[in-house]
Amino acid sequence: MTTEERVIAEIAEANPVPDAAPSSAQDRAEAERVLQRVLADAGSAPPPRRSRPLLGILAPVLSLLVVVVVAAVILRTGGSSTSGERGTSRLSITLRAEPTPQTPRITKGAMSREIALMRRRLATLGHGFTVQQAGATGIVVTGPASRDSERARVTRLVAVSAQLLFYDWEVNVLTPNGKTAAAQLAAQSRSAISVSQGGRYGAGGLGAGGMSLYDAVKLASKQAPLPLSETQSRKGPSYYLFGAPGSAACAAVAKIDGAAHQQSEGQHCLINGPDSSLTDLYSGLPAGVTKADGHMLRVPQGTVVLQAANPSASVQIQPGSPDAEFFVLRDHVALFGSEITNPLPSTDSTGQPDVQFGFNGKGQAAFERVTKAVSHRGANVSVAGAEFNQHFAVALDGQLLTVPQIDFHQYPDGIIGARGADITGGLNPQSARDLATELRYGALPLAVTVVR
Amino acid sequence: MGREVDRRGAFEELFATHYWAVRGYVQRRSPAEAVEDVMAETFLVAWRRLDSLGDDPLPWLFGVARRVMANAQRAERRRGALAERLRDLVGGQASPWEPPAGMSDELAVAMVKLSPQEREALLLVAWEGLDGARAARAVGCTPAAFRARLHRARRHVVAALADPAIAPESSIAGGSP
Repeated sequence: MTTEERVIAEIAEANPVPDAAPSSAQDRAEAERVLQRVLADAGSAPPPRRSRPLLGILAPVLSLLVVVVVAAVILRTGGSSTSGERGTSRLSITLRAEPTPQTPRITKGAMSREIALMRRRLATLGHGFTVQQAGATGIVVTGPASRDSERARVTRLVAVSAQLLFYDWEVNVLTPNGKTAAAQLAAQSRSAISVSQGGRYGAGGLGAGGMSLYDAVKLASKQAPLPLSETQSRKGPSYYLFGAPGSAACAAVAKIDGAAHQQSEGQHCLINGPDSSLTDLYSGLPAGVTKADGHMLRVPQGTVVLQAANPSASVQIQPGSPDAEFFVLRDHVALFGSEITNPLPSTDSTGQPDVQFGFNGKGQAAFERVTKAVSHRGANVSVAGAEFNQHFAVALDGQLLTVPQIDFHQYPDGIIGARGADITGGLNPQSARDLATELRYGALPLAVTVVR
Repeated sequence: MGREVDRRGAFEELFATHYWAVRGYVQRRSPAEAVEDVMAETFLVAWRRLDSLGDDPLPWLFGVARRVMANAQRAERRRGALAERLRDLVGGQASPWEPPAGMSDELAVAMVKLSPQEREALLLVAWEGLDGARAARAVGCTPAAFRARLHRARRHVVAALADPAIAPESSIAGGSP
């Protein structure tokens, strides 16, 4: 496993100016002074007098202008554009981000999270999609889809919230031998302890027993299909198409996706997927790549592959990144996002940031049942001075958001859900707000409107 | 006259589009009192080169700002208390780079030990969010050379973090009454 994202994450966390947007009238006045100095030094004609600072007037106009210009440039450079030559016309969707009650200001960070989540969602459709910021609030999505149905699918993916899933972690997460962590903790299996107790970023994070996407999907593909039940998040199998390390297919994928999605040497690359049908999987392959160039893996119903949690709120690791890690879980959902209510960022009794939320009736019963099981297991596997608190995983859009532990000393019979629950620890005020927003909306921090 | 107006318009658009990103870049690397001068100098260079700017001028603007700051730092080297302490920690070598207050001491020491080129490679990725190709343009090298530089920097930081702190694990608890 590489350590790239860990180092970058720590440095990013220490960014002394995380949001470079103007925060005060003084900032805007400074910008105006700088502009006038430059124009004066450049010997340009004196600017016309303005009743408002230039940036104050120009910012909204230029913002919109940049959206249109970037969209036009992307359309112009995007290949066959609307002509449909060789049947590979591209779509372009221009969106405008808007504040929400939970994210009342459109900041650089909010836009970054918005775009990262959109990219993550579009990655499920295959390759060739780009999501770019255009101006302060514009987002332009381009990709290889021409039919109205495809456009609708893309629009839905980038503009609609997704469902949150809650799992009992150790009972569902598999180690490389295909057994659950819970089944091996009593024997103090090294891999089970690693997956259960986590590493530098806690359970479910980087360096906590995760594996490459190919290894995870390969492990998942070996699991037996399970009958459909209402506790599963997905109906039917999902399909992945991988290219062999160093193959021409991987080179074609890397060329399309650019540096951000380049695979590490010696690793398989994801050509397409996950898709719910082989037809979808084999459509939209990169130019020059056929299904014969890839190795198809089928993950049966009842098993899911989830990406490890990001190391921090400010670092979003793309699924195609060489640093991305994945876990394989049995798809036995303890609680769905629709069963929690009113998630809010707050602080715990010691003043640390936390996220509080409540449950509806069904959710409360499910929460009490699963936390009781998690707590009892923690007590059972903690023997001979070794304490192994057990965990509860929260996932969104195929990625773990957080995997908090339950203290079996404090909650020997689980957590009573009547007063809701708090997730605390490992959060700063910003990440607590982000998590609350994701719990509330299941996804995008900002609302988006389709401009055209 | 018309050409002059067009040029002014193009420059004002460039300024409005990139001013805040460049200012953030400068703020992260320069004393507060120097920011305005650096920005003015940077955009004056941009005015002069306006006709030769490409479609994505931001990395180039970062590069100009970096050179302007380097010139300013050569004239006036500013050292704070933390830099003094870190200088002791790394064996008396002076470093013109001051770690931000929010950076852990362990990471700050590791960063100070890097060469300026390696440090800038990490910061362009972590703070400015540039990918390899754009960061390479900002520092004026090839993407391959930048990747190698970034790899070296990461390796050095990891090696210097002899005893990494364990991040606090998240936990779930019952709601407050």
